[in-house]
Amino acid sequence: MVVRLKLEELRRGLVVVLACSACLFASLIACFALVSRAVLTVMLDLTGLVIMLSLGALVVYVGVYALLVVVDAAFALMNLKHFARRGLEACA
Amino acid sequence: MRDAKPADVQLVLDMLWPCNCWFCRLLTKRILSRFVRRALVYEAGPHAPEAPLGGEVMASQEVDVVRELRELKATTSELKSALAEIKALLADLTGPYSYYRPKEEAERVQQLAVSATATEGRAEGPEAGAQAQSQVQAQARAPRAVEGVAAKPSAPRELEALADILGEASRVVKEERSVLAGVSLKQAVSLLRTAYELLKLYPKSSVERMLELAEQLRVLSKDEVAILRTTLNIAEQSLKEDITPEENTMLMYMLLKGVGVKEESIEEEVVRTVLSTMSSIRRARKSGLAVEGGRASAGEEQS
Repeated sequence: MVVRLKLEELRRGLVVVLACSACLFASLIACFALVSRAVLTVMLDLTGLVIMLSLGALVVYVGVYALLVVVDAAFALMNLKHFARRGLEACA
Repeated sequence: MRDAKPADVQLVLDMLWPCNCWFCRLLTKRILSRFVRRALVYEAGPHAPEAPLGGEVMASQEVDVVRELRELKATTSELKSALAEIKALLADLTGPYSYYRPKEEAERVQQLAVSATATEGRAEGPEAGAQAQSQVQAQARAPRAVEGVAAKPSAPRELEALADILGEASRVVKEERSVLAGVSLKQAVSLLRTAYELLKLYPKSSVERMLELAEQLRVLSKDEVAILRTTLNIAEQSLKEDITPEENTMLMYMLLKGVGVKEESIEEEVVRTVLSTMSSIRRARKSGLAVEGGRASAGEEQS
């Protein structure tokens, strides 16, 4: 029994992962910018500052993950054959 | 060709994307699993056609080949290291100091050999005794060789052993050197005599031509040819200056004595030379006396 991996499908999957992560990262930044502006406009006091800071921490936390996935996906796309070989080692 | 199993998909996915953080579980792996399920294709035969799949494909066979190649490389490197060890062991065994062993060990081996010879000699005679002795020596040598490769004692003990070995080796080298010098000096004296005789009979150029031929045929090494040329030059100069080989030997003896080197072979030659010179002087004196006696008797007769 021979197991084959279609590289085109893999590439497509990685592109989707990359795009999704990048979009998530961009949307996180954009959302944070919008929400922080709104918060600072509505309540310019300690509560607003605390909300903004906690939101910022959450954005940084999620954003780091998203950024890591973007980088990993980009590297996998650059070395697709190595990536596929690594996957096939499980079946070989 | 059939659809991918979920277990296989999960396995491949885990290998493809080893990260298992919440973000990857939530987003990346979910997206990738969909595409991996589509990308994974099973085929029955090892030589199944690739055309129906379409696009670029990587088979598990290639991975097998890559893995086998990697294993082969590892095996080759292991074999190379083993070969290097064997070569080192052979060099140790065939080297000039392979038969050397420390004094205590040599005594032990000698005792073993003597006891074995005695027991075997009693049973089967002298030939069997010699065989037993060689066997005992081989047995005593073999563990040493294996120890050299396998056993690795602690560092200070190893250093001490190494220092002992180096000291003994330097002593052996000195002895070897002295033996070699003795042999070469003895040979040099006889070579000088031969050169004298040769140069009395033939011109130097013909002898040198023969030397060149011997060098080209690689019968003689460059060092040996150089020694022979020097000897020929000495003999030629000595013939020109009317110096005998005995005088040359005496000269060499005096020079070596001056430096402080004592060579038994040279001393033997010197004693032989002195004896021959004394006998020739005695002979000459006798013949001179006889001639004088003859002349005196002739004068008496004339008067």
